[in-house]
Amino acid sequence: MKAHATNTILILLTGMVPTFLSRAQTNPAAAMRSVQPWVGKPSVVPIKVATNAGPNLATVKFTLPKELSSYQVLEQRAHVTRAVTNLSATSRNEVQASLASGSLLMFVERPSAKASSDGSALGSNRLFRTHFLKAVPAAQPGREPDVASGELSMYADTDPTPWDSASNSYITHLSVVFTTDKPSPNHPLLPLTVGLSG
Amino acid sequence: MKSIDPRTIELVAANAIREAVVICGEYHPDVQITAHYLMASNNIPLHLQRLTAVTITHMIISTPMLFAALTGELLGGLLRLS
Repeated sequence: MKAHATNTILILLTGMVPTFLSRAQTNPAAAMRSVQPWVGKPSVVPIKVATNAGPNLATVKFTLPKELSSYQVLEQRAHVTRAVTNLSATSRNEVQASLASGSLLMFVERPSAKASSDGSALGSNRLFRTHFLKAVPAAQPGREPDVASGELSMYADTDPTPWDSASNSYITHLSVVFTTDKPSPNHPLLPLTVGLSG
Repeated sequence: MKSIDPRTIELVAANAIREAVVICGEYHPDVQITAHYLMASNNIPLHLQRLTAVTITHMIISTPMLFAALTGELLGGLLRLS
């Protein structure tokens, strides 16, 4: 009988645990804190290639940080987005692409099994990164378009997200940043709106 | 997911960091955040730390009055049953 009672207590105590876990007394104000900056140079810098393609087409060459297959490549032109499948890369991940004036090329990094940890030296963890290339009309008519580039990244302050016993919840701070090698007040890729859902 | 604050981040300047705070009320093995930008989106797995037995025990003992009341009630009930 005693053994039966002990088992019952253990089962009941185990059953209590989810109740404690779900009892979330969060304090978002207390959760806010400053984060370390992770602003660095963008890893994709396009170099224009001279061609005879005409004034409405810009051809650029650039090196991706990862293999081309690690990205979902999308092109947005005249508010229509389509997947790009005709790009090829050299063994050193060098890609050459031609962009029509006004079009936007996006290299969306596919999520890996373990999120990359390039920022681990700063105690951060990058969750995703997308490279943008946009052909903008040249200031002088008749010239081929200029190409603006940038990188959108999101970082978590810690990975995995630790349990915060004070508020009985998991709290993570996500940092979103757009980096470019040519920051200007009227950058062609800005403003950029990121919506979060989950 | 208990909350995401803010749910919309507007980046107006290059090299400027904007922050969002994500709060989960309980452990789930497959928490994902979806980030939408322009016409693309990305599903991002958010890894939550598994709670160890020590952490759970600490959580229970950290509220001693509640723990004592529940344990006492359980033991009292069991003694009456036996």
